[in-house]
Amino acid sequence: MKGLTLLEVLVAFLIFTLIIGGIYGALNIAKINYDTNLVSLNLQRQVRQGMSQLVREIRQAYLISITDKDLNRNSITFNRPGEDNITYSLIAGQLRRSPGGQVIANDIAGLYFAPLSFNSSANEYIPLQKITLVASKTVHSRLLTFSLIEQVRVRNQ
Amino acid sequence: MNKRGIALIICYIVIAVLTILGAAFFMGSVSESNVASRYLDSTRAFWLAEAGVSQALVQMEANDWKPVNIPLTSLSHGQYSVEIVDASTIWSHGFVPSQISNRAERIIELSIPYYGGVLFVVGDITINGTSYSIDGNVIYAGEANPPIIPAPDNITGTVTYDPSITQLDQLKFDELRELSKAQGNYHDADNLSGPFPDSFWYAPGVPNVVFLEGPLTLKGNDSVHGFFVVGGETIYDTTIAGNVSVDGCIYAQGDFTVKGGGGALNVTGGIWVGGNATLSGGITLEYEASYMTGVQNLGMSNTRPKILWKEAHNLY
Repeated sequence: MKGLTLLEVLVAFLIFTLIIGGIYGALNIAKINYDTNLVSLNLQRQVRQGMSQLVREIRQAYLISITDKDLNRNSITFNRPGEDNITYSLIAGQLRRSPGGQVIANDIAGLYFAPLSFNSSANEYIPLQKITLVASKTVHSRLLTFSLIEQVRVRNQ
Repeated sequence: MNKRGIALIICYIVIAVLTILGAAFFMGSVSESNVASRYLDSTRAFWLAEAGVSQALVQMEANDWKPVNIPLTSLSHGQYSVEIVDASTIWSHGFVPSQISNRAERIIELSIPYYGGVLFVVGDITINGTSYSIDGNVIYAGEANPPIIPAPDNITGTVTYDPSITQLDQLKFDELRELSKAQGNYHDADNLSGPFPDSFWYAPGVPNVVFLEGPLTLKGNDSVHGFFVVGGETIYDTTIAGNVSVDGCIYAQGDFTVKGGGGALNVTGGIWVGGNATLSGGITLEYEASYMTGVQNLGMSNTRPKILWKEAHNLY
């Protein structure tokens, strides 16, 4: 048996590198996709979970007051039958409920409570509370965002 | 070495791997679709319960705001029914697809705090001393001195602060006056000190309605029974001194003052105060649901009372 020439070895090495490079590229794209989808699903879950709890509790609310800090309106305080002074607010990227400081959702970038609109002809507030909840996270230097807007009819207002 | 048998083994391995992958995907999609259909059922049950609430509100309005029962009714993808839980509470159930074999049930509670409390005060509550005991719910709209939220040990029941209450529910005072005259329990301004009935009930289910055209003053060892309407639309005060026992309900738009000073007040029933309540001395208040139901069943509510909407615990 003869040995291989240098040229043959170099060519084989080149082909090998190209194949490995191709496989690596494909796997890398797959991994980025996987991470992106995972984060995106997680964001959706966070927002849905947070929104579901917000909707459920705000439906029962009365004496609603929305904090007007820097026009962000990202904090709401209300009473509901059986419990007073419940506050939902956005603190350090988390949707939190107090009393207790329980974390309802993570990765929250935006929370907005529109003020109840006033019907001047009937001289009463229209009992529809609009809630906007936005979650976002950067993955592989790409910013992912998911947001939900819900309008809740406030039963006890 | 003979390698011809390897093809079969490789085939088996490939088939096994593909089967496992296929089963995993299948189970994933089945469980996703279960989650989705459960969410759909639960949402449907919620809106069925809301349908029950709407129907109950319409019937209650036609029924002087007494609680109503609605038998099981089929609608769209499920059924709803409304049951009376107590004098001041109804539950509306939504079932999908039916009550007997429900995959989802949601319950909405409507309560009329007006008839659900032993002490309902539009103004301030002042409690002097600690020798009191309140067994029932307390609702107030002014200030409490000392604070009673969270409820101290002397109060068994919930305490609700609701400043949106600005006055007592206005009853059908003319009809109450007539009913009281018919029962022989009417007291004009010159005749305010009794005699009062000796039982809460005038007839089974119908309370004695004691209508006073002036302030109510109870003292000494008074023991009174009935549903007392102090002044009707006019604001008069109620003053209690000495050892007094009230077996019934008092509706007073003015202030309610218990003087204390060695005396004691025992109430079984409930008290509505349009002004401030000042409670001194030994006081025992005990909620009596049958009396409240009796008062409510007179059908004397004139305006829609405040109704609280609440989602009760749901199973899913």
